[in-house]
Amino acid sequence: MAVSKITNWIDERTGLLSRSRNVVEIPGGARWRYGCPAVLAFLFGIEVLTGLLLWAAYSPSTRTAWESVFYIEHVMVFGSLVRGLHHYATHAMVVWAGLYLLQTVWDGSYRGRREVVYWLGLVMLGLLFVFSQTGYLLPWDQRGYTATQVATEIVASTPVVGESMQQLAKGGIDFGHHTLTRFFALHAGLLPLLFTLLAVARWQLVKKHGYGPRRDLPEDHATVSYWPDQAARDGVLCLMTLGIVAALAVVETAPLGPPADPTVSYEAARPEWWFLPVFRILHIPGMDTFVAAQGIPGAIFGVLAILPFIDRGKSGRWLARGFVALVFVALGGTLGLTLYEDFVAETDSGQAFRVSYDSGKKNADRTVALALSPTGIPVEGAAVMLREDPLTQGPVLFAQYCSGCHAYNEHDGLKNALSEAASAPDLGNFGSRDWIKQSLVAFDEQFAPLANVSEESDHAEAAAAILDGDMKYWSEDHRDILLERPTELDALVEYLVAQSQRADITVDESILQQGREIFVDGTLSADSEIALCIDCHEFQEVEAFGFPGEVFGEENYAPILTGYGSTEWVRQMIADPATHYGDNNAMPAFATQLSESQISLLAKWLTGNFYREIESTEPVDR
Amino acid sequence: MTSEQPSRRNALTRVTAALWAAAVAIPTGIGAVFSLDPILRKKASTGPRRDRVTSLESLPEDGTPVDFPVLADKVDAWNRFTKTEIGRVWLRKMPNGQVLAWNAKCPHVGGLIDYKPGADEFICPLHHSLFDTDGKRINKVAPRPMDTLDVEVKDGIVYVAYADFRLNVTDKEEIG
Repeated sequence: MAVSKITNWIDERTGLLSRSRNVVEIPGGARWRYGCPAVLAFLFGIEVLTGLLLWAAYSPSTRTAWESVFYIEHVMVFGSLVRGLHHYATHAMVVWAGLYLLQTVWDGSYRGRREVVYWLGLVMLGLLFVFSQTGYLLPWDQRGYTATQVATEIVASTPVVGESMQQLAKGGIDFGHHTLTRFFALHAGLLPLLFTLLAVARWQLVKKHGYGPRRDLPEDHATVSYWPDQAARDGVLCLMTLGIVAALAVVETAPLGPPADPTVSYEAARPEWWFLPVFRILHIPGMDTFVAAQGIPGAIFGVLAILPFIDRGKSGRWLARGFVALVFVALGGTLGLTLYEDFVAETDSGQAFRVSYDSGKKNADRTVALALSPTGIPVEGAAVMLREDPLTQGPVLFAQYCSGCHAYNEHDGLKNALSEAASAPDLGNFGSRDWIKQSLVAFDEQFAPLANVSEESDHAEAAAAILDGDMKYWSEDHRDILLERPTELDALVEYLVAQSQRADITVDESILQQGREIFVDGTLSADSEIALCIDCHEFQEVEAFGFPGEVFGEENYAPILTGYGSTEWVRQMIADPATHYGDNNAMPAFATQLSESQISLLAKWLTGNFYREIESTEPVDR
Repeated sequence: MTSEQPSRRNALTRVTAALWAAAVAIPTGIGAVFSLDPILRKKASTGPRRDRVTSLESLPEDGTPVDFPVLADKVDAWNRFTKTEIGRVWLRKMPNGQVLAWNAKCPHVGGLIDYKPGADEFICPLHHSLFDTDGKRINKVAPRPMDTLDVEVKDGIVYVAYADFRLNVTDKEEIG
């Protein structure tokens, strides 16, 4: 019909179709298991196609690699799909290469003068591993960065030339721009060139020798040409593999870890699953790097290379099959063991892996959210964004510097238990309406942990004074009267909460004036009043919500409440609590211990002063 | 070969060809869409611009044209650059207090239009396009006069609605 008319037209002028139709012979007929090389060639084609497309959007420098991959994955049309195809085609190639090796040894395809075909295939298998290792680094995320640190250490373990080779690979002493450009030149330039040359050479040899005959072929066996019998089977296998790769690309998008940051440790650093057996053997205590990562794999490849000479006669075939089976079982078992230890085992290292794995994913998601925010990625790159994000860094700093005394929602900020009993208030809801209400009607409960301050501490006296001080008694005296008048109490709390001007708290302006009156006059209602706050506290009200910013209670002795609960108030509190508390201070000053940016990150985190994604711009009413 | 086999053979050939066609077409199609990303993903236009250029008092009273860079935020793929030069404008303060503004790009092929102090014309150095001090063409090198821009003067500050226009066409068409 029409299609055959077109194909005839083309064939009469180029000879392409008729030439390729009978190009190779398959003794004994077409078989499904002969499909491996075709699927591998097809997958390589996918890699080249998607690789070229990704190349048009990827930028190999330490400030733009992660950023450009993020852009492909989350912004560009079909970017995630193209990247997913590229990523999962690699996994598919490793699986099919394994199947190809199994089929080759089972059928003894290297017999009959086909040793060179086989050896070229082994070299291409090695190239496949180099491909995946160089590609893994290119997104410049924590996963690829840490994996490449390990890989270059393995290179360095080579006797004599190791150190120089490592520097050549890294592009210098340190990881940097040149590591990326060199790996990229290998991955997109040299390796595809070598792989193609080897594939062409191999194809010429296959045309010369035909497909390797399977064992025990009868004398009168049929021989078919590739088209259409084998081509049909290969087509089905290719389409099926494409379907699986595409489905994975859609359902489980190619992973992108948080941006590479050598200053942050990452226990969940792992290479791709096909390298995990080497990873596991490397981690046997006392194991030599060269032996584990180069010696053992080298020995296996060495034996594989001489299989054509081992595989002679009936005993030889079982020796060859037995060796390959043993290798696969050992690799599979080690892989399974590693996955079990990482994801299931209730050991310290297993748990450390899972914690780091989860926090890595969280940080990656947060970096993407910040990158998609109106501020966008700064010129310094995405890693800087994460380092300056209060939501990410606050809990880390809190756990390290504050959790010695303070709990945060009963943990240390990073969901771990405190190492000793808290000796300062729980800051989980600091600055919220609940916190303020608690300070007013249950001050002794709020500050109860101060009782745990050790007697030898410099702050023991101040801590005891707070627990037995004027505010504690004020709270006791006014507890009932305030709780009996919830509307008035809420108004007073609202006025105090308004002083922080926090972006994540929407103030109810209708009750602010009432709250202000209670604060300034002490009049709760016609027949009740409270002891004036401004009789003890110095305070300049905020110049907002129509208030004039009046100053009250100058030079009073109680803590200064100006801007209470704002980022600036907390910043001063951390740097030097005496600014607010004067001598009534039970907390050390951190200005010498923490840098300004660290204090700023803590203060912003504690006061909700950080970017929130669109879905949650509903201010958190705390 | 029996008489059945040729048709089976043909069917097999057709099926094989279809399988391979699909296996090649699907990734190629996906790749084609991806490669068209710059056209398919048009940036949402953010509305009229209002870029601060300079103070009113910096412009000469006698109406001599002076050129200024326009500094604004610029989004380039994954980066947002702040206060980056996105273009240049020529400004003239007129006797009635009005300020005229033109995009400094020549509408011919985009060279930067120049003005020599004391002269009575704008000159583009690329192909010697000439405009008078009202932006109108003196010769016919450029296809249209200099591209005017909307100006707002508020509290002594001159704001310009900066925009770029298609080059080498007779109509003034805004790009982007």
